[in-house]
Amino acid sequence: MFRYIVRRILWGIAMLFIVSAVIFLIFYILPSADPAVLRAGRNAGPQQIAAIRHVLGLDKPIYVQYLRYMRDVFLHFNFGYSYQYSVPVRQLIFNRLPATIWLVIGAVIIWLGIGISVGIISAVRRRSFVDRASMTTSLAFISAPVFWLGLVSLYLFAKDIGRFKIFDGQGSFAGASTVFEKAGAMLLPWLVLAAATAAIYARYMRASMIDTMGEDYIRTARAKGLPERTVILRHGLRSAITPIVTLIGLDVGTLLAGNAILTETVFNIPGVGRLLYQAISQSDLTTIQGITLFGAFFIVFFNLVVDIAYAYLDPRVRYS
Amino acid sequence: MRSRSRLFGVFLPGLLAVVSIGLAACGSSSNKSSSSGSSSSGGGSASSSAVSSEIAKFPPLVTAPASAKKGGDLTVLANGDVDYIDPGAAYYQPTYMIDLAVDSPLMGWPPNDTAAPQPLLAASAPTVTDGGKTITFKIKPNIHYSPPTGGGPGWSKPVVSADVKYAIERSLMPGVPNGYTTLYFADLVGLAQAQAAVKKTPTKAPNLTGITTPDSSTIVFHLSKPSSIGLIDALSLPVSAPVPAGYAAKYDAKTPTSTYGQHQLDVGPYYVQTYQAGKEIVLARNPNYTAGSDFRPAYLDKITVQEGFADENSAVRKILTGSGMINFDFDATGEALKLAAQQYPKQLTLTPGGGNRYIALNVTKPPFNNINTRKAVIAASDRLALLDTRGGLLSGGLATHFIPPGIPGYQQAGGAAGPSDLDYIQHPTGDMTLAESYMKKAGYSSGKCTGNCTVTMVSDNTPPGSNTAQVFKAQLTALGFNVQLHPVEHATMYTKFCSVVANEPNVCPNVGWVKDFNDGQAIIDVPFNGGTIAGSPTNNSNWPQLNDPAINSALESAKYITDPTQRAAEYGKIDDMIMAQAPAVPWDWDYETNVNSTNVIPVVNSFNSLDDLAFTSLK
Repeated sequence: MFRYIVRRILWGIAMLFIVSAVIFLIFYILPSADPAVLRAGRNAGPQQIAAIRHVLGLDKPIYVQYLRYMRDVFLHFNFGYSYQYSVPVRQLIFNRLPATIWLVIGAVIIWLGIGISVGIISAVRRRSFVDRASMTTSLAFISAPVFWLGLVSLYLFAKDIGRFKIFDGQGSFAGASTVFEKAGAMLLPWLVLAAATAAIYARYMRASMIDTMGEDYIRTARAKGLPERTVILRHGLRSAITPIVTLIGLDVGTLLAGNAILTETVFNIPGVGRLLYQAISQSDLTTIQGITLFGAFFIVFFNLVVDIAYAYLDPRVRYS
Repeated sequence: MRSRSRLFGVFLPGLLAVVSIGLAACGSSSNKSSSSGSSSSGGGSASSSAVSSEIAKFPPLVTAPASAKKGGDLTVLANGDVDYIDPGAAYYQPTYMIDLAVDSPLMGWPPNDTAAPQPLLAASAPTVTDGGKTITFKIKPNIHYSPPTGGGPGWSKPVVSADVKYAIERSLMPGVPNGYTTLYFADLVGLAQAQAAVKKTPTKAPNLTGITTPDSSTIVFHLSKPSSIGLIDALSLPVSAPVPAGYAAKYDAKTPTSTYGQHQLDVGPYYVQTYQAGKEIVLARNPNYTAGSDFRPAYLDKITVQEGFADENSAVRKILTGSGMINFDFDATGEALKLAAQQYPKQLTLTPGGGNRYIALNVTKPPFNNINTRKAVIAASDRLALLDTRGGLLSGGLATHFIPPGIPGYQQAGGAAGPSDLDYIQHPTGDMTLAESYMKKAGYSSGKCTGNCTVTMVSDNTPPGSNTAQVFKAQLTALGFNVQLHPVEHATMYTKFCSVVANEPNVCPNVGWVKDFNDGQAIIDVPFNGGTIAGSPTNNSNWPQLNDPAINSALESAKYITDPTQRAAEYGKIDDMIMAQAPAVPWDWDYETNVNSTNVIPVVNSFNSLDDLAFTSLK
């Protein structure tokens, strides 16, 4: 097990190196805009642009830029300076991470709670009205884009612009100071972000549970006279939940990496996703590249966590 | 001023589309077109008075009412951030909203002033001697700096003239990427040497020998040419707000960028108390400011710029239905503008934005190297349809030339009607018959392009720019052109295509210019002076690449005219000369469409057409 973990960590580091190289290629060799010109502004002369290019190190040979970039990223955890904000990208990301963590944790709790429960109920009451209704509803939520759902929910339920003034509106998280205020400000974003994911999880859970409940060992458990509740929760769920664990690892990793971009943008939550949106809209290449690399780290990390969790969840899985 | 803001991002179109659905779901009209322009865009013509009447319905206040009272907190909703919080680099109209409240350049603009800047840090109007080549300012005594942004030890010494000199010098450093110093201070003695010095030592502000400070309250600008008017105007920009070298040099020495902005000292009625990049800017009263020391009344106690409102429709609605709020860097457009105009007319103001939008035709390449082809394109253009892509006549006036309303030279260039002797600009919805006659003069016997009629066009890939490009593409197609349209990101459009001389396509449909200050030079010199093209191969803002010796010469001479009336007349004449060359299709004189909550008394500053935070108050 220990050797497996070490091997996976080494693979993870290698993966981050590869991702870094690709990011360098995209943002340094094939940039969509000239960073020096963007920073210099419209009226800047060639001398000024050249001076900025020099200060940013963009006039150095490519290999020097690459070595400098890799050194900064891996030895100093330095993603460079934001062209737009004139502050270190690392500082920007860490400044935004708490809001994203708030959003992700709450949403995960909601979507796991709803998704797994609905999935189990649908599976054990297969083809019932409850099953059909929940699966139809889940399909509707899967089909609804997050930004659409977010805006509609704001126009319906936000205290500032909504028809029914129930939940805090846009930008309220930034102004919240206590834990309760922050949770209140996050309620609507949590529900919106969780809606589609919970629906996906419910469908996965249902399918996995149906497969599992048809296994021989479930029949054996029932034959032994175990209560149905114990059969479902102790024997069925433990096995059926492994695909969900895979999903949750990836989902949490990508959300922390800025994949909540639409939810954060619609609700004006000052998180990594909104930072990414702002960086894209302003062609702030160093910030985009920093968030991308940061996101790659999260995805690699949570993949590793998932692989290790497998061994504990499923007795059939053992690593050597 | 840098060209049009790129602060509306790639996801906004999706959000906008969705909001339209959301609004429709809430019972509002989903009609996207918001003006009378849409109804008249199908044909016929619209009179000048008809197309310019909308702005009169929503006039802004340009002076604070006598009943304005002190106190209260204002929230300013923003989509993006300032371009640079450092006043030495700031070059974006919404950033000037902050700068007008916290900084004191030598000169300033009271909200109702459009003629000439007034003394702000300067004790009085400058003395101009030596035939306009020497400008001397006395600065006010006993002006003190605010606490620094973010806290920490500040700077207790009073403002001295050397602080203004250092502020301008540091703007030449690459770590303080100022976009206009080298343009407006071009005639300053010693500028080239200072640029050379900063190239050698980029972390140290160079000495500008053309600025001298004989004593602590006097600063003298020495010019090689008599361009005093332009220089005095430029000294109303934030770059001349004082910065003490003893405090700022350590921040300016940082690479790759100065961090002074995050620790800045201000001398206005407010100061930047905290700045969280991309999140929030808090302005508080400057405890070291003496009330009455300049023309700013400063009614509000605290101003918070809350950023991240990417969807302008919901943000506008939030402002209109909420309390104590105004907008920052987004206009009310489309559905939001319609909502404001119809349901909250007293909370909407339209102000000429001092900018233009036009479609640049590359005059160096076929087919637009033929002036008659260009005239045909302008004649065929349905400019009201183009205007509709941004919200119609509520969002801007129909442009007939390049100097917009409010800028000296506008009337002399023909006012709203435009140059009467140019028939190709007289038809707001286009005139195909006239266009075909020009096409025939260009050698196309059928009146439409035949043969090799491929033209390239590089546009924004997001609305409204992409919509403008599509509409114009259809108009070119009607003249027989085969348009290859390449929509790209806004920054890519400029830095890879439209501003790169060698790569420029035939048509750049999403360009325009906003004034730096109220002067013809600030609106037509950079975009149409052919003398700048060769020196800016990768950052060219003369998008049509118009290089007409007579126009170049007239622009160079006009800079040195000191009589305001004569200066306005000359720039008006140059505007006519440019229009006669038909290098572009002017179609929009932007309005700033500002909204406010019902308990806010907004005062718009004519300098940047946005709410002036130092004059705005709460009821």
